[in-house]
Amino acid sequence: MIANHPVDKADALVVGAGIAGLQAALDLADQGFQVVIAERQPSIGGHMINLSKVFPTLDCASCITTPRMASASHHPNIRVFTYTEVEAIRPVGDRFEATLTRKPRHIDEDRCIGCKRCEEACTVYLPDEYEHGLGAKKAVSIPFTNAIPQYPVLDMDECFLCGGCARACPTDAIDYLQQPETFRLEAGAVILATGYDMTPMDAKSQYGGGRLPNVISPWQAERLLAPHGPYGGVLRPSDGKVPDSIAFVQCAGSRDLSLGVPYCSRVCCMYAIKQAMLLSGSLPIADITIYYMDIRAFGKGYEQFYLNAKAMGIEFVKAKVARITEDEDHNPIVRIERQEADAAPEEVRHDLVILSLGMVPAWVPDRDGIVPLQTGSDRFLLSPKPRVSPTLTSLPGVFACGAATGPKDIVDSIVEAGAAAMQAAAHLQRTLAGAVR
Amino acid sequence: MAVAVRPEVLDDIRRYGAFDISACFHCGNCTAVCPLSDQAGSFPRKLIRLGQIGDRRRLAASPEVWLCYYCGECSETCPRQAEPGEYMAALRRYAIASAEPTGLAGLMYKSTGAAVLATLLVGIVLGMFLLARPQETANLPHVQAWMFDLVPYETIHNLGIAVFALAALTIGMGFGTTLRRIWAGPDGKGPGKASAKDVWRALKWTLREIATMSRHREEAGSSGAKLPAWLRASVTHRLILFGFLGLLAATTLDFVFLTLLPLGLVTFWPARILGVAAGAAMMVGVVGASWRRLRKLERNVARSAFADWWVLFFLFVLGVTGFWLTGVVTVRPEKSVAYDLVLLVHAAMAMELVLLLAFTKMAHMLYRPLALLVHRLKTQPPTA
Repeated sequence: MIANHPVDKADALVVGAGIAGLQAALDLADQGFQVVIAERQPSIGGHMINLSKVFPTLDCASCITTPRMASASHHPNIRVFTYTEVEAIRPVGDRFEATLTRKPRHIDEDRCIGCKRCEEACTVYLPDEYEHGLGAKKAVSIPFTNAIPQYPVLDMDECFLCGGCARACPTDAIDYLQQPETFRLEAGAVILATGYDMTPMDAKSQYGGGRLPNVISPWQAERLLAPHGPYGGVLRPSDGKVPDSIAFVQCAGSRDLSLGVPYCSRVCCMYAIKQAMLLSGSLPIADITIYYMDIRAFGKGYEQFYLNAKAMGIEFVKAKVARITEDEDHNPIVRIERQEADAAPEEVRHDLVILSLGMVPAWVPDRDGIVPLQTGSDRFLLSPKPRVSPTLTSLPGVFACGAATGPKDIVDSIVEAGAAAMQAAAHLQRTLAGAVR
Repeated sequence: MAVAVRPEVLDDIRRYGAFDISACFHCGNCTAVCPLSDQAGSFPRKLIRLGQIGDRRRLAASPEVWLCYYCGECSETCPRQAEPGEYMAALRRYAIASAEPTGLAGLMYKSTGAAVLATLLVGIVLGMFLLARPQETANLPHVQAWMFDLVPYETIHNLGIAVFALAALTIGMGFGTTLRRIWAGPDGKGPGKASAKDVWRALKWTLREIATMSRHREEAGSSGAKLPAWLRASVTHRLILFGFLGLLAATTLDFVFLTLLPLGLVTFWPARILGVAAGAAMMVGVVGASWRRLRKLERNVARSAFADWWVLFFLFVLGVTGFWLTGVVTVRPEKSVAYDLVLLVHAAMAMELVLLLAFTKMAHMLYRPLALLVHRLKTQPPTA
């Protein structure tokens, strides 16, 4: 259930409501444990709800995510706190005390009926972070169409207090003076499903430092490809032109020590191939090129997926893109050297370039001082037994799953979430002795 | 053309510098990120390939080795940490050694002990040679007498002449070999037919490039922009180059006006002023370059070879002793024992720096302009 009011006890606290967190929470709740989910975004669903389709089956991403979002938000054993930050998690004996802060939406959740009248009345337009900057939203808005819960968030930093939303609201739910609310929660186990972020677009000066309008992130590419995307089709940002030549730059944020990311992010090869396939569906006559160092198609059905993409006419060029510049029409130009006998640096012009960015942890507990846990040199959470119990953390009773423990695709995240839920259940059975139930 | 793979060549090159070029999997990032690499001069990956298959002939004939100014951006962005920039630096040492006929240069690069020993030996011979000349060391008769007891004058004189002859020979042969190899190019065909006018145009371009070092500046723009001016590679190198050339000019002027022309001058002020200014510029450059290396300010100075320190050490000591000598003769013209000793060290080291030209990093003064000239001949647009 969506929780609008603090609770003080639960069997387990799940931090993060992406696909891994939702799966772990559902697996625990289905066994009868009382679960609290803390999600810092205004909606549950994580990154996956933003995606168009998933590899290697090209299934609709929403069709996998929304049933889990709906189940979690209606499950009698789950309390979902959205727009809620975890301030601290401290071990107290066998149990944990978590400090959570509900950030102010400036909406009285008990009164709001999700009618969007406030959003219609608002006159302030802002870049839409759900569309990764490609679309616009209002200063008071419900994050996206299928967000759960359907409460709007009023951005007080951008609002100029015209009062339009308050006058439009039929239930008098707008609260300009709403304050953050901090509360304590006691839990027997914690599952961290805090996910990933992507290396920033401006991290690599050789790739234009984020200043080239037609060099976009893979998240933006997902939105362009999504049926309900910002433009209703694949258009490039600078001038709205339909791109005829699209390039993917692999390892744009991974395997690059100059970015501090020496590891492989695992999913980029596959999401680039997937996006290339979807693009060739949307734009059948466009030339699509993937510049790569080596293709890592490691999962079940992945190699076949890669071979299918090749057979579809997607061009794979073995060359690391070293620089990206642009011409006067903002057409990105990539500088590469092909692996051929008389190879020399060459510059290739494209209409749109997608950087296959790498994965970095979204949340570093020891840096943020929230919970004292060991992380690896890559800053992802570290298990003391990474081979046999990958969901353990250095603190007994705290478990981790999904991209919080390392770059991971959706299938592996779901599997690991189930494993973390199982480990947490066993831990609760050992320590709980019916403390809550 | 079939080429037999010779893995031992890469093992040999590896002894000239610190890098792990066997990690290279040929993604081409280094060549594509290089601001100086182009259709006519493509590096470092092509040279990495030549190194990996051990094609010694084509490696030696590649002017690209000398087109690289080592900004370090290839090493910084290499996904395999293979250090292509360091490989290029090692290749330059390898090229110097392979063009030098005695094999001494190779020994000096591969073994620091050998380099120290050779430097000391040559220095001592040159010092004794200078000490044996009475007009240079008027205040050191006791030292001179002691030395002649130890080694007869004839031996000292002959040893000195031998060092001069060896130096002249190696410089001549090194230059000749490199010219022949680079001129022919990896395909053995040479830059094609070039009219005298084309050669003159290319030569002008090369001289302008040496004077302005615009390619060097362009390259340094990406990585060194954050450093203060006096610590940027392009600035320190230009200070050292123009300081060195200025000192050469001042010495020549002094020689012409004080020794050759019977003017009876004690001090030729234009040369003195030029010498002080050039010396100061060189010292700023040397201190800046040393600081860059000591603090590893950029990727291209993260690993310094003994050969790099050798040149900086010589220039630094020459600068310090040179200023000391200038100060003494300006303040107190009558000469002393200390003055003679410092002059001896200064003169011996200056001679050694020039005589060992074909053996040390200083050889790039010969080979780099040569490579630039050939590269320009191949690439310059035809005359309208």
